[in-house]
Amino acid sequence: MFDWMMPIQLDFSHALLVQMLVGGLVFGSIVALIALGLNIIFGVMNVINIGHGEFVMFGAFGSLSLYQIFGIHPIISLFLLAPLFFVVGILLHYLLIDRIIEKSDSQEEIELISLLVTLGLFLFLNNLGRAIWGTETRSYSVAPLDTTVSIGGANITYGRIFAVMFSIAALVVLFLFMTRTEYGSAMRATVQNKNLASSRGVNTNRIYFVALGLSTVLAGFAGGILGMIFPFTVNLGFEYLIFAFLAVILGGMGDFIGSLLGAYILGISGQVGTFFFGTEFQNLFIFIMVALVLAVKPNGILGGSSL
Amino acid sequence: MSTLGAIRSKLDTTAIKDQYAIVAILVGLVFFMLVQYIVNQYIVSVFFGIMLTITLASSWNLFSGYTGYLSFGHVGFFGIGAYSVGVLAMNVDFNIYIMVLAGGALGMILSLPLILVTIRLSGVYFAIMMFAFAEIMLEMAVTLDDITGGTSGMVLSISPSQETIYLLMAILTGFTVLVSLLASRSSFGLALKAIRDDEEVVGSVGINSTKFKAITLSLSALIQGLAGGIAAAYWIFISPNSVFSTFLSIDMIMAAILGGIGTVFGPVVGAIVLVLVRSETQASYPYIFGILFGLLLMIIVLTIPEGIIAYVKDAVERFSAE
Repeated sequence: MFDWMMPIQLDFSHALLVQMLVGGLVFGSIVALIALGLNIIFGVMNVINIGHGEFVMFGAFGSLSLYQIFGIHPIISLFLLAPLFFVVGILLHYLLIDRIIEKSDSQEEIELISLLVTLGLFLFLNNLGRAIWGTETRSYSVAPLDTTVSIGGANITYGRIFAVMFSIAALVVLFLFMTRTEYGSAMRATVQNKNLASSRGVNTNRIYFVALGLSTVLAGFAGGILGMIFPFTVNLGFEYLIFAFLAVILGGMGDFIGSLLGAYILGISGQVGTFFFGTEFQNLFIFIMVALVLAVKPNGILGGSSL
Repeated sequence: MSTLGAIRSKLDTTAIKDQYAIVAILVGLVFFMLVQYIVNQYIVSVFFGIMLTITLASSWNLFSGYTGYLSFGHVGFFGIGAYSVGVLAMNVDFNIYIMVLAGGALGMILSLPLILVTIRLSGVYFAIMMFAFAEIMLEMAVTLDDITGGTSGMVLSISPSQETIYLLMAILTGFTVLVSLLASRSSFGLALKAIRDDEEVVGSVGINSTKFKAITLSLSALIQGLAGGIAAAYWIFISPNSVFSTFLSIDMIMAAILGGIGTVFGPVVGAIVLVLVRSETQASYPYIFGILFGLLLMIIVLTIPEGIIAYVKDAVERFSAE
């Protein structure tokens, strides 16, 4: 008698649900790493880095090359490459970002000029990657990561589980760094108000260096993880950068918790979109969703508040 | 002086008298139209590339250069125009030249919902949404393979006369530069530049900045769509990676920056320099070109953000003063 109350019959099983959930978590975790990197430098110095995705690409190809040349396991490469990425970030600030900040006299100008300058950085790094590694699709699978394990009827590779665990661990460490250390507090203070922070004795210039270093390390991590579980090309960084940007503006620019939230919302809604409309409309679904959210809240879900 | 401030002050000094500007545009147009009957096929294709880049850079500059809202997604409009013509040509049997124009216009109509949503966003959000828009459109062209032919692209089944398509492009290029000139010399363009300088003040004196931005972005999208349609008919073969390429986006932005962002003739000069340099180097050194132009883009924005024209003009003035 309550026919209309019956749930719509969908081809839905536990296995599919677990598969979707893990898919969403993997995507969300990796995007969260990239998005947080973007948001740290936006929050700290209002710089938008279009070249950021290229560090993801260098992370993936760096691990691949270390594996092919020296046989180093990609999980170890993650830690081997991290200091290198930190140094690259510091160099990037010294050579480029610092000059952008010096040239501009308002926050809006830093945003505009950094968009244009880092477009050049993108062109430079992307073509550097092409010149070194070529344009073919690459993939490699390493012993424990490609084994599958059955969870709730779904077959999940260890690689995916590791991707989620590692990303969450990195995010937790970052959270502890931001909330429990003096550097972290100084960085959050700089996000909230640069002038007040520096008048209270925070060396904002040093904060800038650390922020860029952290941001490139996070991108390198994301790239290393992506390379372990998905096939990739030199366009990898750019493709993920778009989603990281969408996650950042969905959560609100300059809001760290917002980016996390945004990344996981994108991950899960991508799976929902695939379920209802098919893979080909997955990303269109994500894009329209973000556009609709911004139509209602132009500064993102958590826009206006800060960590 | 701040960078944007420097750009603004240069703008006023680079103004050329209206009648000279119009004569220059017409002479250029006639030159481009007639040159195809003199030179060989390869050079004609380079000239087509120059006109295409001038059109794209000028129409990008019409919106982003004048209002200060940077769009990294104009290539999305271009690609939609190209694919509209491709799909129309496959399915409808009609005069190809009218179809090229209709397809281009369709590109803008399809983009209207996006324009209406993004136009209210602030600068960074707008830039990112447009960026994502182009990338999503590229992906749609790949995945909707029963309409678009997927990654392998589509070959337009008709073969229109290349000379006529070339002339269409020349007319569109002339039209775009003229619109750009009119916009820079009218109260409409003044409003756009005021939006770039201070949007809040513009709103407070009773100018509806959203309306001005929406009209300009739609016009810019229309030109991009038409250019896409004409380019598709000229190339005959289109693929997602050729008409939605990020590098096409970078080309138009780069041409505008090289010549002088927010000026009428800056994008024209920038496009000519860019295409000529590239047609000579890219075939033999594909990645070196990208690496060098990436470096060049960073250096130009940080050192001479007002572009080549103003820089040369400065140098000439300094030289003649001595």
